[in-house]
Amino acid sequence: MEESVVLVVDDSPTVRKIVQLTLQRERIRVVTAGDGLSALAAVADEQPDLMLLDIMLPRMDGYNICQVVRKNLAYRDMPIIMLSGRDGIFDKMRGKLSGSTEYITKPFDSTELVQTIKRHLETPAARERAAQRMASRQQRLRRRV
Amino acid sequence: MALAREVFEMWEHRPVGWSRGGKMEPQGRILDGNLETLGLQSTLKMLALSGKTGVLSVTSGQERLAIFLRNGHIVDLDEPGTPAPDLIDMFRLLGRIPPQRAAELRRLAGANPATAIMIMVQLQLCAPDELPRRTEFRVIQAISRAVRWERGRFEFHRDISPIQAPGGPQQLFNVDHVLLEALRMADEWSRSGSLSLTRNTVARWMPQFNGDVTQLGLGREEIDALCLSNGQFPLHAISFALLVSEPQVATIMRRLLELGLVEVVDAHLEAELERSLVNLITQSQYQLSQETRSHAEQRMLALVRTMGACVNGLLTHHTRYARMLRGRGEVPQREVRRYLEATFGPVLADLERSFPRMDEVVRFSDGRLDYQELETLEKVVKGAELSDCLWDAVRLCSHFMRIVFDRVLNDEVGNSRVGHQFEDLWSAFLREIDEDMARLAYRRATTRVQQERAEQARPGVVSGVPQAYGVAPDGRRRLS
Repeated sequence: MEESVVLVVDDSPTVRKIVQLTLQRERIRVVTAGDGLSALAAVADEQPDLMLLDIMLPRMDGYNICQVVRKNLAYRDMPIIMLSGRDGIFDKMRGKLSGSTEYITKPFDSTELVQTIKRHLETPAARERAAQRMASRQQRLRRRV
Repeated sequence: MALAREVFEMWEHRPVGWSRGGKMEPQGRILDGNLETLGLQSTLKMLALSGKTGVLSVTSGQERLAIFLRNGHIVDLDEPGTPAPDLIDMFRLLGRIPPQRAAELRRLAGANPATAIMIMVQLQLCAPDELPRRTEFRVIQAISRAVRWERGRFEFHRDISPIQAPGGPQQLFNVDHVLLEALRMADEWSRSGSLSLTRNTVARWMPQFNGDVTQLGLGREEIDALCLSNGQFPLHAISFALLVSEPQVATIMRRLLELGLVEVVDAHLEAELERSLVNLITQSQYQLSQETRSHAEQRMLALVRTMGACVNGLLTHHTRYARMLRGRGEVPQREVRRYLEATFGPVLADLERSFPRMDEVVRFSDGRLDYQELETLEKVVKGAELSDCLWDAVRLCSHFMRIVFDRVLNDEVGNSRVGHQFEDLWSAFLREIDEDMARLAYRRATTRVQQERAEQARPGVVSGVPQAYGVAPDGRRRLS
């Protein structure tokens, strides 16, 4: 099976480490970014299968990142899970409007987080994306050789 | 192989009365009670003296055991929830069975170790008395574990036949002999209490070991234990395969760990521990991220609350996973509190000597960190004194939380891979706390400088004369 890649965008190094530790146990590769612009760079470099996105971020907030990512055709179907301490209906609605797939409220339970992520990674589209990424990586490697 | 097949069919029968889910039928129960009032030793002795036949089931927390008796003698024992050891594979690794024979044996015996032994006896791969020897060993091991349970329940159901197989080889074990051996083994476990290994610990060979094993001076049992440390067999299975007591195997494993030959994997415990600690740190980080733009005093109080809640979360977590409390079934709350207070109480007392203002304000009671006094501190002191008190509380909690985490982690997982992973995670959380504290220290220093300038600018104030603190009358008395 192809290795899944999850991009975690959060300004807290603790949250980034927590998600990394939790997902590594499930054999999911985790890439992290601490601010909005680094997140966009990581999306282009790593082509993740899923993005976990905090709302309050330095340089560019989660809603804006979500909108920018959705404008790119290549990432239109990529699941984006908003991860935020705000649990009001307004925040959830704003997340939905900006293009997020799901909304998880902090503090999250690690088991629930894994279940949610796995649910989105086990779809045929996600598997196809992982296969495409692997093929493009092999192609790049062959070119380099 | 026809004889072996017959033996297999004969041993496939399960004991009567012990249902698939491990629950007993209600009829025939003639004795039940709590282990606190009547211990397992006394109960077994009583049943032996009255020559009873039936099954004694004992439960303590998640642990369960069923002891089958016939005319006051132990005939067998069942440990629901403990998977049967894969004796064939272990014998293969020990070189007692050739690999091709192992595959054939597995096909015949399935996962039943008793069947496997019977077939191996028939094939002259084992001594004829192998099965009774191993059954006795298993009975003693299991009872040595159960005699350490202090809380729980027992039930005796009479006239339940231990093994349904007619004419099957069955040995009667004397209760006195079994109890004596079990108590001796329980003593061994108590002596090896400092080991971080449990009966479910799994060890696996270190992939990066490059030395020469033959030069390490390992004994026969150590080499055998090393052969079985392939990351699949728990300590109790290795003990059963080698017929070496569990505490002895734990000691051997510790030596192999010290030599860097194996690393410890307790997948179930590690997963539970990880979930518990990860959720605790997630909660603490969330709490820390709240009210970041508040007034300095409020922020200090929020930090104390975050660290206090984190310490209490760590203590609650430790009551479930502390080495001293593991494998003992349900431990009385009083003992748990005593353990926590003995372990962490002196640490807090030591710290309070460095922060004398916090004496009696932050204390350790009922196995928890009590910082409620700080919530009402503003009614007692105000101004700079309140700020200093809260700053002391922040620093005290920060030191205490670090010490508690280090001790908890060291006790629970020791120097293992999972331990290092948590250290990384904890360092990230501490960095956030430290950054917050650094910001607070800067804010406090700025405020102090501004206040001093304002005082100096006020006419009639002589520099160097101490100013009166804004302390309420009762507060001055308490905090002086």
